[in-house]
Order: sequence, then structure tokens, then C-alpha cells
Amino acid sequence: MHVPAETETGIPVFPDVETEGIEASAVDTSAVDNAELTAGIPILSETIEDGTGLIEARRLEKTFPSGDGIRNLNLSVPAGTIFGFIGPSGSGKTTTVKMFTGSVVPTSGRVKVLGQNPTQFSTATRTRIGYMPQLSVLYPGLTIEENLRFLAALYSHRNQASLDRALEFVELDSHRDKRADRISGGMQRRLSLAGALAHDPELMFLDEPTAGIDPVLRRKFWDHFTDLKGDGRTLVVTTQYVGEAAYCDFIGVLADGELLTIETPEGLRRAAYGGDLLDVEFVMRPSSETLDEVVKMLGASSLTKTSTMSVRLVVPDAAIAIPDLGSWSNDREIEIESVEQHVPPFDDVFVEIVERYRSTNGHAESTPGTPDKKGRGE
Amino acid sequence: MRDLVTRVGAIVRKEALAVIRQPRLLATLILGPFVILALVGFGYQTNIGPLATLVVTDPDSRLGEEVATRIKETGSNIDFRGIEEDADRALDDLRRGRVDIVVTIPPNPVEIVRSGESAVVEVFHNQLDPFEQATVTLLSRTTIDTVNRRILEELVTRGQQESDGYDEILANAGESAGLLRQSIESGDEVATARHRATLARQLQQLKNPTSPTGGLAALEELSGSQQSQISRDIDGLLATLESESIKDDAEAARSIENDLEQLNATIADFQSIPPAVLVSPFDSHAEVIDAIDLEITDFYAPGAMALLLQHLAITFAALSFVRERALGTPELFQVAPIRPVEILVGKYLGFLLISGIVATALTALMFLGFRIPLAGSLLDYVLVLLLLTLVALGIGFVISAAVASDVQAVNVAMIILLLSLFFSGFFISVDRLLPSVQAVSWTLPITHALDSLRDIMFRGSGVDLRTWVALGTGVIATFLISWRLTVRRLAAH
Repeated sequence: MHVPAETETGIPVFPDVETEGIEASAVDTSAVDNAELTAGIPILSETIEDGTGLIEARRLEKTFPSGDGIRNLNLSVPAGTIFGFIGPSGSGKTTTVKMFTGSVVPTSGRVKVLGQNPTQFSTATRTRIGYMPQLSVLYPGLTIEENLRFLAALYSHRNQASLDRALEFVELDSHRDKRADRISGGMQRRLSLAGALAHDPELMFLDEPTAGIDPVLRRKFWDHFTDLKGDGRTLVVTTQYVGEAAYCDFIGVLADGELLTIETPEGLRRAAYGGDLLDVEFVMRPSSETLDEVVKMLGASSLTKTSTMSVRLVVPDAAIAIPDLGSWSNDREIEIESVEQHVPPFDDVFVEIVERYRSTNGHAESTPGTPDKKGRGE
Repeated sequence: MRDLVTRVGAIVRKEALAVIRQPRLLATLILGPFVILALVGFGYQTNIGPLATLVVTDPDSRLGEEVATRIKETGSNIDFRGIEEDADRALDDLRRGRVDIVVTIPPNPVEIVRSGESAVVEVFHNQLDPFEQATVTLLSRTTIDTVNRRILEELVTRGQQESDGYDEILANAGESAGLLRQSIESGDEVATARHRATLARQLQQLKNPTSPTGGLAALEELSGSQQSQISRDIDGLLATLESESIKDDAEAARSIENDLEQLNATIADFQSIPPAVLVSPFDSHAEVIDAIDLEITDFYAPGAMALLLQHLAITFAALSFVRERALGTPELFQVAPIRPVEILVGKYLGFLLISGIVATALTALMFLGFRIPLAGSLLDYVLVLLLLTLVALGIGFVISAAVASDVQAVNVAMIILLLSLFFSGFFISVDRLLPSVQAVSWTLPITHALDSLRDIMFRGSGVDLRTWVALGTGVIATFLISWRLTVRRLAAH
């Protein structure tokens, strides 16, 4: 059993995965006990009452009549951070967000957002929250500006200047007089985002805000989210673009209604493979004894031959392993052509984590791939 | 408070804009029914006909021909297409739609009448609509009554013409009565006997049906009023004249002289009265009290107004939350600080604004365009419409919260419209319904509103307590129910 280590912000990171029985050819990912993943799910505070996070959930569960839902969700989201939820279609991302906004009543467990039970939010608390639903909720007969004014007015917000700023931010200021049913899906998503931000909320729940948005504008959105975080705002974001995990401070990976892990972006990579990935190319074909020696010397948890001359190692820390490998090479007069750390894309990281979870839990689904774009009731 | 106004105002503005931005919806819900009702108002004919009529009778029957002629002269309701001998051919024409009604006169009407029975004139038509059937039946009955009356009038006219000979006979009889009295007074028995015989002959002449005044006897059988009295008077005079005591009774002779003068005056009266009056001495005239005279379109105007407004409000409200759910906005409402009651009030106000604009336009058109009378207070009229609209909105919101789709919402709204059409008193008077069914009528808010609107517009009376209570209770009850349902619908699940 691993005890989660804690980061400076108090968020525990997923523990390193120990691997026994290193094999020369490949790492058997199934060797990583799923219990290590599930049992290692971090709980940020022992009791919710004592938690300092803006969102505190403990043993939170939601079971729908179909049997789907969320199981045993524990997390804490500190103020002033961006918390991202990533998961395949139907994994429970939207359901989780809705439990935090008070739209869905948990079957069991406890949750507090801004210090209150979401289903009993006071009017004052609600004004501190911004929400962008997964599907754009707009009135087709109203113009862009009228829709935005309506959304802001729901929060008693009347400031025209901030509405103009929101429209400008989502690059819709020149389209403000167009009717919502005559604009593209991407423009509708931008308008929905503007509606969630217009009243300058303290805590924002954004359910797939970048779906259908072009890469340039997506980048702009994330830059703005980062700025908002810098202003002390807290954002909970679900996304279908796994690569956007890099913008988050913490990432919660959901699959089949379970929160598999919460990690920093870098920690997520490490959690996926049990350490850093190191690609080593030898000048001469290495012998088995040589490879065993390298594994022992670096403390690698796995070794995979990628060609006759090269291998990929999972090491505890690439920054230490690379100079150690250089020294060993000089001492043993074994020439190494190149050594470099491999940084896998988050798509691969995500697939690795979910596949590992599913294979150890006997799920039939294949590789999750890209989460759905329009999935409801997640 | 300002925040509250901002939130409610957002809903009001949104609803108003959403409706205004749907001109087709407005056209469908407002202009469509209005144009239809206006067309009905313009095109509805209170009088039926003229009905293309074919008369079947025996060509040798003079009475049959006479009746056919009378039918032809009945009036503008009958379009006389001729006489047909073959009844089957006439009925075939009826089936093929060439004529509207076929009137068959029995082949031997005189014999039937002489046997003491009425000769039945059969009227055939080909109408399925019970209302049209009733109308045709009434029209045919009226036509036959008219024919009967015309025949009677003609007989009376003939009697009056023939009674012209009475003047001379009565004058001679009066003179004979004077001579009789003088001979009695002078004791001239021979002259008395002669004048007595002359007078008796003259009186018998008055009674004799074969005399020039024989028509009088025939009239006795028909009208039996003045003629019968005249006949009885003559019988009395003859009885006095035949009495042996008259030979010495000058007073009796004077009495006969006076009676004959009086009889002459009675005959003069009979001749002076028009035959139509003699045949139909009584006529009827119905008049409504405490109300102004109305055209048929006037009467239906408040009903059309109330129905349009109710249907508009119910449909708008019924579709409202259904559309919200289809758009997914409850998800936003669940998170935002706006409360269900604020959403509901905002929708009430938004749709009330739209309904108010529509009602104002229709009212102006009704009073200024179509010149429908308003005898009572405009304020009362407005207040009743306001309450009706609020109840209708409440009903619509209840529907909206209860149904699952916009199709269901529209269907329920249509059912309420049909219910209102048949049970509110719009087409059928509530009084014509069974008491147990009347309970359904008075459960409908529009029944109270329509009853009150008619009183206000056409009687000039105010709104009675029953209407205030019924509509007021409806407003409060539907608001509370729709509020509760809205809270439930917007609650987290």
C-alpha cells in the first residue's frame, strides 16, 4: 500500500508504482495491481469539515436507475487552481460537475462547495459560481448580445462594460447582433463561455469549454483561464482534449464512474508509466547481462527493447539517470550513441492509465481513445 | 430588490423578445383564428334558403294546384322549381342535389278534409346536419302554415265580398220590421200578417246558404266568431217573429227592428276587419329586456375575444417550460441564483405583456372596426379579460410542467379549446345542458368570463361577485399549482 505523498499545495500526487520482476523485453502493465491505482486515490483531507479546499468531496456516489454513476469519489480542489477532469465517454465527468453545481443530488457521500451543500446553495453563494454546461444553452430567437445579457441578468449582473469585455474575449463582439440560431456551433460554445464568465464568478465550472473551438482560440481560452487563476479564481474544467491537461494544475482521470487518479500533469505521466521514460541507443548491440546491469544500476522498473540497438527504460528520475548512465558507460567502456528522456503525449498517458485500469478490472471496452464530443449523462 | 427586478426582468424581456421574434407563431395563434372568426361573422346567414323546391301533386287536383301556387308565393325562402307528377322522379332530383326539398301533396286532399282529417303534406329533404334538419323542418312547417292561412284568408275575403248583399237585405228587413211595428200599433191585422211574412222570408234569406250570402254559412265552419253570433241573432229574431204573441206586441216588433239595426252594424264591423287579422287574430313579438338589440356577430364577439385570448395564453404558457427543457435551460436555472418563483413570475409578466398587446389590438378592432356595442364599463371589461388571461396562463404553466413534449402541450391546449367551445356558452347556451353537465361548464374559467363579458357589453351591468370569486380563485389556485410544479421540475434530481 502506498501512502500518497503531498505536494506543496497539499495535493497528494499519485505514488510511484513499484514493479517487480523486470523483464528484458517489455513491461507487463498488467503487473501493476489495480488496487494500487484505486487504493491510491488521494483524499485531500481526512474530514471534509476540516478541508480547506473550495470543493471538498468524500465518498461521493451517484447511482442512476441504469446502474451507471459515480462511485466513491474523493477529492479536494484548492482555491486559485485549475482542476481538470479527463475521461472517456460515459466516465462520469459531467455527472461529477453537476453534483458540484447542485443539479444532481448524490446518492451518498458528502460534498461541499464554497462551504455549502450544493443542493442548498444560498442565493449569495450562487452568484459566486459560473457554469458553462456541456451543451450550449442559448435562446435561438435572441441575438448573441441578448443571450449574454440574459445569462448575466440571471446572476443579477447589469454591467454592460463587463458584457462587452466578455464578448470581446470570445471574439464575438462584431457578431453581437446575430441571432443565436444563425451562428456556428463554435460560436455558440464561445457565447456560452462568455455567459459563464460575464458576471466575474469566483468559482467556475466549465464543461468542455473548448469543444468545437479552433486550436488558436482554444489556446487563447486556456491563456485566459490561466489569467483567471492568476486573479485567484478557481476553475473546474472538463475537456475532451487530453492534451489540455497540460494547462491544468491538477487532473482527475475518470473512467467508468471511478476517479482513477488525481495528479499534476507531470505526475500523471509518471503515474502512467511508473516513472520517467528514458530512450537509450547503444553503438553495439547490448548483451542481456549489460541490460540487466543497466536496469540494476539505474533502478529502472522496466525495460523494453525498441530495436536491436536501443531500449526504453522506466526510471525513477530521468535527471539523475542520464548522468549516472554516462558515468557507467565510461567506466564499462560501453559506447552509447544517445540518451534522451521520452515525454509521451497526454493522449498516450491517458490511454495507458485507462487501459491499465480496465484490463485489471475485466472491462471489455477497448482503448478509450478520444472522449465523446456530445455524450450526455457522463 | 434591484437584483430581484433584474432577474425577473430578464425573464420578462426574454419571453417578450422570443415571441416577437416568431412572427409565424404570432400569425398562427392570433391572426389565423381571428381571420376565421371574422369570416364567419361576415359570412354567417341567419336566414336559410332560398330552398329549391319541387311540388309533387296530381295535375287534375285543383286543390293540389292551389297549394302549389301558394307555396310558390310563400316568400324568399322558397325557390319554386315547378310541379312534378312523378314522386320518384322528384325524389331522384332531391338525391342528386338538383333540388333542396320535395313537397308532396296527397292526391285526394278534398276527400281527406271532408272525412274530418287533415291532409298531410310531406316534405322531403336530404340534410344530415341535425341543425339543418331542424331548420328545414321548421321552414316546411311554417310554409304549410302560411299556405293554410292564405287559403283561410281567401275564404274570409270571399265571405266578406258576399256579405256585401247583406246591406240591402238588412235594409229591407229593417223596413219590414218598421212596417210590422206600425201595423201592430194601428191594429191592422191583415197588414201585420203580410209584413210578418215578408220579414220572415227576408230573415230566412239571410240564413239560406244558397242565397247570395251563402258564403256566410261556410265561414261559420271556418272561423266561427262573428259569423256564428250573426247566425244565432237571426235564429233569435225568427223565433220571436214566429211567436203568436207578436201580433199584439208592438214592443217585440220594435225590438226586432233594433236588433236588425245592430246586426247591420255587426256585419259592417265584420266587413271592415282585414281577412288576415280575422284568420290570425293573435301575433307575437318577443323583446329582450335590459339589453340592447344585437346582431348575431355582436353576440359572438365577446366569446371570440375570450376564446382567442385564453387559447393564446394557454398555448404560450404550455409551450414555455417545455421549450425550456428542450433547450436545456433548467440546467442553468438550477445553478443560477434565480429562484423558481422568479422565473414563473417573469413568465407570467412576459406573456401578460404579449397577451395585453394582442387584447388591446383585438379590442380596438372589435369596438372601433366592427362597431360591436359596449354598454357597460370598459374598466370592468378589461379586468375580466385580465383575470381570464392570468387563469389561462396558470393553466398553461400547469400543462407545461405536466407534459413531456411540445406536441403533448399543444394537444392539451387544443382539448381545452374544444372544451371551452362547447361548454362555455359560446355556441350552446349553458342553460341547455343537463345540470350535471353544467358543473363542467362552470368549472371552466372562461364560462364565468364570457357570461360576465356579455353582461358588461350588452346589458351594461357590472361584474358580479360570483365572477370575481371564480376567476380570482382560479388565478390563485393555478399560480400555486404551477409554482409547486415548477419548483419540482427545476429541483436537483
